[in-house]
Amino acid sequence: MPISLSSPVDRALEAALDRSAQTHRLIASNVANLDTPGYKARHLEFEAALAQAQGAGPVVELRRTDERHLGAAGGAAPADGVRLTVDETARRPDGNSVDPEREMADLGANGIRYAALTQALAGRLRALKAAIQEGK
Amino acid sequence: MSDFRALDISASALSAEKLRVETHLSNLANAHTTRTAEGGPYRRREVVFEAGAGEGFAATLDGVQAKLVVDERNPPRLVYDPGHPDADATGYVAMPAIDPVLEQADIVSAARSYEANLAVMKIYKDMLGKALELGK
Repeated sequence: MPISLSSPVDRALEAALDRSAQTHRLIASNVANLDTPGYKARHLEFEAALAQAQGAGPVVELRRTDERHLGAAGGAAPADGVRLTVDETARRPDGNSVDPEREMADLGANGIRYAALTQALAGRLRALKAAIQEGK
Repeated sequence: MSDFRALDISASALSAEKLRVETHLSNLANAHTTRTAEGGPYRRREVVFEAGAGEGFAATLDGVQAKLVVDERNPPRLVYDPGHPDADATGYVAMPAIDPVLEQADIVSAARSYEANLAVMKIYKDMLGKALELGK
């Protein structure tokens, strides 16, 4: 299998990394405004955002080589823009809707996701390096 | 991950929360101050937080701005103390209207928010470190 930095897998990994960084900035913004009256928490729905990013170009095409194979479910990813949900429910009298527990949980999950994605991408780069160095 | 915006967001919150701690400490320290440069007793100060205004995704990534305002709602309380040098003809002294319990609760709340933002900042630094390891 040819390995190149512009393969669909690499581009998908890069897109996912970008989304993860974007998610972090949103969480940082929410936590920064923990004490701002009237501030509404914003969240990026990761899977929806990723599907949107991948929908921008042909990523991985599933081809049916046999009639008995199952078809690719769903087909193309929905390109409905980055879904940013605003939490309108105010938990406090000052109208602020930031839930610190949720933000911290999201923060941890997003950090782990980012680490996993960089690990996967590093593996791809190592393979490329091995090919450049003729397996030495 | 292309920029250090997330660090700026967290940093803005750190300085805002620090200002909050300092303000309430100042209120506590001046609970019995009857003389100020503006004349009269010390007026209780309050920090007001404001999120960045604007539309779209970029606007949601704003940090927080803290403004120092004088609490106009609580006029000085009159304490009967005829021996006090600043007592008026009837023996009453105008004292700052400061509730130590309220001030301390605010300090604890600000310290916790500071910690939360510090955690966000630390995770982001870990993420940047992971990204740097990509080429290795």
